[in-house]
Amino acid sequence: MFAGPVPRVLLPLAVALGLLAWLLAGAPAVAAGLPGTGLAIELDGLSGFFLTLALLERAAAGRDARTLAGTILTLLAADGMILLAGVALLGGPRRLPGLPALLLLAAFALLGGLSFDAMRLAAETVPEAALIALVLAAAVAIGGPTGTYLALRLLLDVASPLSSWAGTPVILAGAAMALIAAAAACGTRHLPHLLDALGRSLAGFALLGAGMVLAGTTNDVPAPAAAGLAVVLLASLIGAGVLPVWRIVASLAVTGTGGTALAGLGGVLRMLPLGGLAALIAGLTLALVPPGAGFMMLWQAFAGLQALPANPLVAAAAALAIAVSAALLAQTALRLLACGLNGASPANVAEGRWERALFAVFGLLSVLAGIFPALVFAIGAPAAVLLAGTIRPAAGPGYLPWAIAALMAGMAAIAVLLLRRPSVEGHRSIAETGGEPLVAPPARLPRKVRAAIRQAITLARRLGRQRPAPPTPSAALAGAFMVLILLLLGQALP
Amino acid sequence: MTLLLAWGVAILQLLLLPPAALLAAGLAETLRARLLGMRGPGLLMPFRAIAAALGRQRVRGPDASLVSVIGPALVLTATLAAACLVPSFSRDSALAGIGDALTIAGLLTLARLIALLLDGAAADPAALFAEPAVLIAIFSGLVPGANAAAPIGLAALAIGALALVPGPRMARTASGRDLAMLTLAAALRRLVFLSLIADRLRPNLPEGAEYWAIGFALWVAMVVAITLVCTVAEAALPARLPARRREALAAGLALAALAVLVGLAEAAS
Repeated sequence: MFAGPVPRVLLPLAVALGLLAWLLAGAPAVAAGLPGTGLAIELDGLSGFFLTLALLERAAAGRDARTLAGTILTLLAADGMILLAGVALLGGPRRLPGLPALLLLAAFALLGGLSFDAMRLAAETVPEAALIALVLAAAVAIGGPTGTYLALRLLLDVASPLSSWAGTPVILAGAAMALIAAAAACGTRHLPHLLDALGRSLAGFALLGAGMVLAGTTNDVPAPAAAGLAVVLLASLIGAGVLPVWRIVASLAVTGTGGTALAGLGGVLRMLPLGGLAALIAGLTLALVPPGAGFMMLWQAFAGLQALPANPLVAAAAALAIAVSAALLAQTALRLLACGLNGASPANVAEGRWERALFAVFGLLSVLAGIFPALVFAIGAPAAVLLAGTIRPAAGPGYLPWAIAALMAGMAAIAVLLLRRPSVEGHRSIAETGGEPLVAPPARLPRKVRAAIRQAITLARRLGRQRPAPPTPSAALAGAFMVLILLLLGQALP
Repeated sequence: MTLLLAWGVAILQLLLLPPAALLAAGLAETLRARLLGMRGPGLLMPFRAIAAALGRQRVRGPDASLVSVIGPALVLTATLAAACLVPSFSRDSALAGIGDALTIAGLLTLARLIALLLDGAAADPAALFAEPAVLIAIFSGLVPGANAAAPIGLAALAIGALALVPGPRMARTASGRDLAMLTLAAALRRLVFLSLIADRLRPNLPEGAEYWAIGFALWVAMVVAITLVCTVAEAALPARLPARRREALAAGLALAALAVLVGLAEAAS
């Protein structure tokens, strides 16, 4: 499904637009009022449009093009509904108190219709392609900016008339969803199912955070609400910014091997100089270990559960569930990384220009969000204020991620200094040397400098071998849309 | 002055913990051998093993990936960082405030994940359940007003430590400097668990350098005592076998969950 030139162009564009919309949802554009909000939501809609078009291109050429058109229109209509809900919220909630909630429910129904259409398409046309399309569309349309906006907006609307226990079922549902999806991710051998389950587990964490926001706001306790908001923001960021790394790696493996089994990832990371590093960082982020954004999310979830004013049994059950989920997610990340690093590499897998750029962006995003989560919170602060009043997410005290990263860097330096010793980069075995002991090569330059030079030369050779893809009508169309969006941005933002 | 003392504690701890970890590992091996009727390798065996590994050259295969290159250093780095955060002879370390027990568990998980990646096909992913048991045991200790839950949480921690005994498996997957780093990291990991348990049992001491000697003596006594208890349990239950390791981990997880429930019931009553 990713073999043609059109998806290669449109898929990164869709993901980039989704990220841009997510950033705008928290940027001053939203705080500036309705035009900025509308722009962010329409960008999200365009992202969905490109994504659907890219992923279901083969279906569009087949007999079910009408369903494709309906799916795209459904997504755009759902975004329109959200826009209308925003208008109603900003303009006349006092006159028509039930209207925003009704519009949001309509948008939910339309998004459900989108999923239904995509599933029908999956059954009737291209099973594997449509399945991955469904996962990606759901990740962007439901787990991405639209979903975050919908969930938080709806929480804010329904929080005030509800009693203090209202957050409990949401917390339990989120914890259960995270646990069940993590177990599913750990147990499956098919890449699309595995990535889908990872996305659902992150969505479960986001739901847990939303429940903590609800519990905090209904009980007037700011600590769990702030922690819950941080969990929602970080889960959204990981779902939108880290998971795509593995989706792109998976698509490259699918292209190279022609199958969707996890074993098809065998050795693929060796063929991707930048992608391998980004996938390693993304894998560690998904494993919820420090100093990644995933661990920050886990830490905030535990901190919020400790401060939860509701029944302590709920907090204990949720803590148990997310601790086991963390272990299962770590196992899943281990499987992904181990498969990607070990085994024979498929010869026809290589990074394209788009993939390389996205790998760099996502890898950097994973590291920055993990070490400086305050950046994420600062970007999301206007949206947080808009959605949850005066409650703001914050990092620490109890965990200072930048200090932990600095400590790890210092420890690494100490470890390297203490245990430094020349080694044999074993391309020869003892048998090949005729029984002579292996010795380190003569040191003209420091070994690390020589290794860095060798890697740079290898990378430059690989870059030189890859030729840019010829422009296609779809690429030109995408470029035109990008120019249009930039023009719109230039007019909308001061 | 306080800041200087706090950094002094941090630096002393950093200098003290690696040899202490190797001594604790040697003690555990010797005790275990004696309990099984053998003479044992001696307290200094881990030092000799590391010196021997450092004396050999590292050989990497032609298919070595990035993880094989940076993995052992990353394992040692994460474990050393976790060890710096654990209170040992004093709780006044300058590094104590930058990460809590959850951070320690997270850093240990990172080290374990990379170590499992290095192990390749010989890896036992079930070992990744050890740190969640620690997380839940810690959560049980944080419930206000819970007293009876503390021993159960400590038992969970002890079983976690028991299940994490460094086995001889690493010798097949690493060599030279890599083997030295992995051996030191495994010993440090065990000491981190033992220090966590000792810190929960230790009485509070006033701040100040004059109490460092008392704190050091208390810490050493507790680490030795807990090592003895864990080694006896390990000799009774051969936890190095993969199946036994899984059983021990499951028991630790269940005990940690029980500790949470008991603690919550106490808090509610």
